[in-house]
This record gives sequence, C-alpha cells and structure tokens, in this order.
Amino acid sequence: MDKYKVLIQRKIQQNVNKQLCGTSPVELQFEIDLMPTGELIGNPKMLKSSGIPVCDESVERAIFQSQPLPVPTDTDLFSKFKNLKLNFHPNEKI
Amino acid sequence: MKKSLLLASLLSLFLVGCSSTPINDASKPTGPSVSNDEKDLDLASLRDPNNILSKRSIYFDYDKDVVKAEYKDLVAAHAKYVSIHPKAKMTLTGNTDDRGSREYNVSLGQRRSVSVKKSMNVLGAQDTQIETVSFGEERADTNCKDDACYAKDRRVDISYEKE
Amino acid sequence: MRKYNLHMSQIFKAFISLVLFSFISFNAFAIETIEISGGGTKQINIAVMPYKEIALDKTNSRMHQIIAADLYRSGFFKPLDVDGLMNKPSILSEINYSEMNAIEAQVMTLGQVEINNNRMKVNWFLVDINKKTILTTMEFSGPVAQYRAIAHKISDTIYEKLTGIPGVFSTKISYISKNKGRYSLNVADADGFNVQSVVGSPQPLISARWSPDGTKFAYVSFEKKKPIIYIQSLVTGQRTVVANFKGNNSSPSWSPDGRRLAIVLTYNANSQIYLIDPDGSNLKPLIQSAHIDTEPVWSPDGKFIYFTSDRGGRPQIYKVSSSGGEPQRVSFEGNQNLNPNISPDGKMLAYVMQDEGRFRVVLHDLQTGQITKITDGPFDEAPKFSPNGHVILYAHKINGSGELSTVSIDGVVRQSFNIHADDIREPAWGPFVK
Repeated sequence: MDKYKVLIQRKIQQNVNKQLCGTSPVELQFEIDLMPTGELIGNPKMLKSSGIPVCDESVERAIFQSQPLPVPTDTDLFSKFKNLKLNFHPNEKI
Repeated sequence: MKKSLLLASLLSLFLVGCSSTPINDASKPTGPSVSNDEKDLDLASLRDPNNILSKRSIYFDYDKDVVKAEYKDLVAAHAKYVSIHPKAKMTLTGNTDDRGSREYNVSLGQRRSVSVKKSMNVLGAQDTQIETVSFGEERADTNCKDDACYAKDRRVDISYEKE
Repeated sequence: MRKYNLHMSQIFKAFISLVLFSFISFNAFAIETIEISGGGTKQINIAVMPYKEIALDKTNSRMHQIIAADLYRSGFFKPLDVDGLMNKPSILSEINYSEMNAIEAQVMTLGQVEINNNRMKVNWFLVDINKKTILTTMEFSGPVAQYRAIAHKISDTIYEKLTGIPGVFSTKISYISKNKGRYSLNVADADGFNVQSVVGSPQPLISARWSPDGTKFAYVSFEKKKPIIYIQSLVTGQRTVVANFKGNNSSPSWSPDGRRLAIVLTYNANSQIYLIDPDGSNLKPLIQSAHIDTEPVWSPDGKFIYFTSDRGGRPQIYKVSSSGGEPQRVSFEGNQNLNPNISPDGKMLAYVMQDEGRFRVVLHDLQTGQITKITDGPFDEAPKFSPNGHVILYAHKINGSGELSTVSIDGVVRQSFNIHADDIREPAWGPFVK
C-alpha cells in the first residue's frame, strides 16, 4: 500500500516544475480520480490554491504529465487509490 | 600663408584668455609655433635614442603600484625634464593586463600612473604639468598564457603633448 | 403512548441510518492523501509548430525557430522536436492529441500566416494539450520584413501566459565589438539579430549604458587618448560631452529617473565616484577616499549606490546611500568581487567573483545573503540583468576574443551568441519599451 504511495509520490514529484512557484513556502491541494489503468478521469480538482495562478497551472500540468500513475492491479487495493488527495509543497527541500 | 596668419591670431587670442592649464578643456590649440617648441621644449632630446628620455615605459610587479628601483633614473630624468621646461605637458598613461573588469582595470592603471607622478612630485615636477590617465586593459595582449606575458601589460607610459 | 412508540421507532430508524451512513461515509471519506514536496523539473514541454502560409499552403519554419529559440533561452521551456512529426497542425481541428501526448508535450503553439502585398497577418494559438483548451489566441500583423519582431511578440505572449512574467524577447541589447582595430557600439535584438552600429571609433569604447527610457547611451571613449564620457541620442544621433575633466572620466551609471549620472573621475589621484547631471553640470562628489572607488550602480529605488572599492585591500562590492555617507561592505566570499549589476526588483546583485583563479558570474541574494555561482569562467565579465530580472547577459573571453552569453538566473540554460565572430565585450540590456 505504502509502496504505491511512494511510487506515485516520486513520479509526480519528478514532474513538478517549481520555478513558477516563487521562493516562499506555498501549499496546494488537488483531488484526482483514477482509472485502473492509472489514467486520470476528468481534470484534477484544485482544493487549495498556492495563491500564484502560474504555480497552480504548473502543478496541475505535473499531475497530467505523470499519467499513467503507478496504481495497484489488485482490485481491492486499487479501490483505495481511485480517489486521491495530493498535497504539494513545491518550495520545501525534500 | 593667410591661413596660418589667421590661425596665429586666433592662437594669440586663446593664449591671452587662458593663463593657466584649463581643467575642463581637453582640446589643444594648434598653431604654427612648432619651431619655437623645438627649442623651448628641446624636443630633440625626447627623441634621441641615446637619451634616457626616449625611454618611456615603467613596468610593475603583479598587484603592485610601487615604482621599482630599476626605474629610478628614468623617473628622475623625466621629472627633471618637466621641471626645467615649464611649457612641457606630460601624460602618464597607466595600463593593466586583461584579467578582471574593464572599469576596475582603468582604476588600477590609474593607481600606477599616480604612483609614478608622486615619484616625480618628490623630485620637483608640478601637477600642473602632469596629467595621469589610464587605458586600463584596453591595450593589453589578449592572448597571454603566463606571467611573462602579463608582465608586459603592467606598465605606465610617459608621453608629451608636443612631440 | 402511540406517539411515544412511533417516536421511538423513528429514532431507532434514524439511529440505524446514522450508523449505516457513518459506516458508508467513513469508507467514502477515507481518501488517501499523498504529500509531494519539491519538484524535479525545470521546464515546460512545448511543441512549437511551424506556421502555415495560407496562400501557398506550405509550412515555413522561420518563425517557429525564432519562437523556439526565444523560449528555450529563457530557461523556462523545453521546445520539443517536431521536425520528425508527420502531422504538423496549423489549425485546432488538425491537432492529434495522442501524438502530442506521445511526445510529452504539455502545451503547443501553432498558427497560420496570410501574406498580401508584403504585409503579413498572423493568427496564432497556444493550446493546453492535457485539457484540450485554448490558452491564448494571438493576432499580429505587420510588414513581412518584420517577421522577426512578430515572432518575438508571439514568444512574449506565450512566455507571459505560462510564467506570469513579462517577456523580454522584444527588447534590445547593446555590446561593443572590436574588428580589425576598430571599435563599434552596436545595438541588436535580444537574440543578437538585426545588428546596427551606433558609434564607431579607432580607439576603444567601454561602459556603454542605456538611459532608463531607452533613447540614449552614456559611454566612454578613448578617442582623445584618455577616457571621456559622452551621451549620444539614439533618436537624433547627436552626442554631447558629459565629463572631460583632468584625468579619467569613466564608468557612467544612470539614476533610475534618468536625471543624474554617477561617474568616476580621477583628476590627478585615484578613481572616485561623483554625481553629475547629463548636461555635464552640477558635479558633486558622492564619497571621498584615498582608495579606488569605481563601477557605481544605482538601486532601482534610487536610494543606494553599489560600487567596487579596494579600501579593504582587494576589490569588493560596497553600498552607500545615494546622498553620501558611510559605505557598507556587501561581498565577503571569494578572493575579489567586482563589476556589480542589480536586478530590476532590487533584490539581487550580479557581480564577478574571482576565486580559484577563475572570474565567474555570481548572484547575491540581498535578503538572505546567499551567493550562487551561475557561470564557470575562467574569464567572465560584465553581467547585466534582463529587464524582467530572469536572465543574465554577460561576456566571456575565449582564446583572446570575446563572446556574449545569456544564462537563466537559476543557472540552468546557457547560450552563446556568435555574432559574426567579432571580438565582443561590454554587453548591456535595453529597457522595456512602452
């Protein structure tokens, strides 16, 4: 379970372009729905904006870019991943 | 002939108007007084290859503006020359190698020309007859790879207004 | 009694519903949350399609190459290779989104050109590949001969839409070139094209600085065998002497309102900083010392002047109030620091640091004190911020000859200009033109 969380986290993180998010700490939150293939259903839903429109757009692009997300093939396990909340802190050191 | 008379009268007007070296004006009057200058300024001695006055360059150690002992006689000769020729106008032009920024090198070259001037002041040369300027790195060899090459650029050149 | 019983069963039903509801809710609201910190990418993937010329029904790559080069040089974009694609859409209905997804394009720009009587009309689109939406529509027209200017306007529009920062692709740069012993002050487009000579001289030219309104240059010429400061109008071509005092006259720097210049004079002593009006009047010393003080640069709010001084031994960067006073040292790392330039928002300095034998460009965050080395040297000089503060233009020497380069302020994208292979030095970046 955690293994998939880490895989998803890594894949999306690699695609996040924080250049457009300024230098102060900002926080964003998106909600996504996934197909068993790891593809998005519809667009990511922004729950919390960074306050910087180009940053929000950049993080949203990163989510799209990360398709297909590495989700479990087992149906029971997948049910925990078909709806995810993603919290972003682009300016935090990893 | 007419033209030179006109110039001569303009020149005398100019000389009447300015009794001391103007600070703001860099333009130099031209005129037919060459033969007077030859005598007054003893230009021949400046040109004579056997005369130390024909030597015009003083070289400096890296990062230093101290005039080295080996140039003492050269400095003294030129200082004496301006002292005994009150109409002589000397320019000391400082130079640097091409490392660093251009404007800072203008200042560094200037520090060297000022250092030479001070050595001459001590020997009686007046500031009114000397202008210190700098070309910075603008005359430097841009292909230097070692200090033997850079050393040639660390230099003050002595020149005179009328020669 | 009945009422009470009914009430009880209602309550019971409600209770069951509540329990069931909670049970379901508990599952429904147990959304996994994933924390994602930092970011691994630095650029937006963009597919820049060649435009299609309507009348000739052929695709022409000139403008798309200019746009792709502009966007790449900014450091924010990675233009994708579209040359190998079979499908080169020029209208929205031609876009093959799965093909774009396959090359990992995040955004795409495409359009059409109509040419009539030497005038071109350009219709351009910026498209979000993921959401399949149009981000911007652009329409530009102008003489065909100005196709580069139109391409730069498209680059500006794309850049601003996606980064929120004003683009500098339509601005100008200047530099001094040396060719066969002759010097020339030149103005060019920000990408190095359309070079025009403003001043020519048999003796060196240095320190050319754009006036804040972009209509004049202050520069230093050695044509009289000593450095003298001139101001020349780009509009009329006329020039005037600003300073020709005894000794050196150099290092001019315009105040942000264009009404004063900080300059460096020597008389018969060391370099010192003065303030003067552009017409050469109202000369006033800024600070006085026995040391070298030079390379003054005004802060954008006009309150401070940063400069280079060797009062501490080796050249370092200092700062002083523009009304004079006690200078404060600003640079502390490396062996020596010189040639300061300040960002348009006043928050960063760019200067040249010498350490380990190399001269390289560094960025100094004035708020945090952090220093970042953004070039490698060994002989880098004259860093200048772009008017949007995101790119540094600088010169560097290779085998005795100078070249210009730009580097994005994160140090990621570096590009060199090979302008006719001349010996190039002293770059400066022109302001935004209204």
